[in-house]
Amino acid sequence: MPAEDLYILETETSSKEPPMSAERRQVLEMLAQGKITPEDADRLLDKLDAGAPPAPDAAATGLKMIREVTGSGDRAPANPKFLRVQVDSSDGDKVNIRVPLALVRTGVKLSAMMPKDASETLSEKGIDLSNLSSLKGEELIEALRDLTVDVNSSDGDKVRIFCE
Amino acid sequence: MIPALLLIGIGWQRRLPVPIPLFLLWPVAFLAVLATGAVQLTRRLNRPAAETPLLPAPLEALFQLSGLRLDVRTHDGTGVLVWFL
Repeated sequence: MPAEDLYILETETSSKEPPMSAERRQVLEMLAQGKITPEDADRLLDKLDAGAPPAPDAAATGLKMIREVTGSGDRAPANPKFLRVQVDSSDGDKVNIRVPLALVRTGVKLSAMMPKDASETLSEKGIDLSNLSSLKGEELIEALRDLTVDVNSSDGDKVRIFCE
Repeated sequence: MIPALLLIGIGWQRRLPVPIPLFLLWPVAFLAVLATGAVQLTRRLNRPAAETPLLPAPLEALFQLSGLRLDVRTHDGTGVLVWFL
């Protein structure tokens, strides 16, 4: 069902029925803002229509349902603190590294202090780190926020990189 | 945040991670920050055009170490744990 139709349907029915619940309003607002798809909104409204008991904190319930439907609960937190690297090798070795993102930000500044020889060797290999130092810290964190690397090799090695 | 404790565990099963009290070095770090800040401030006053940060990157990195954890376990039971708390 298109977003506009849903909104119109809601405003029409609300004049005849009891006032719109906070959850229903929240779903429609999120739909209008484009935060959820019409299909998600449809499913959420169906859930609400199915007669979920009203919770004391309607907004919290609505958000919980939205997370359930859209799966946004699995996404990276709004303010990730650590960069995690997990390696599970097929022969049983395990590596678990947790690096504070603030340290990553400082590490970028440290890359400017890299010896000239090392920079030249890297540039010969096609790696240019000179632009890293001009990157602002917040830009880097913003870029890392949604970073997820999942590697499953055929011989059973697993590598996972994510922010938490 | 500046780390207060460093846990180091090396060897088979890493049975006893050794805690190293980094908080004992806090006064030294404090003095280092004061001295570095003073030097950098003097540089700024003498050369206003120069953009020198008050805290150099290596010292800044020292303050961000808290939470850094490196945990390696091999299949034969040995491993390494380095954890700044």
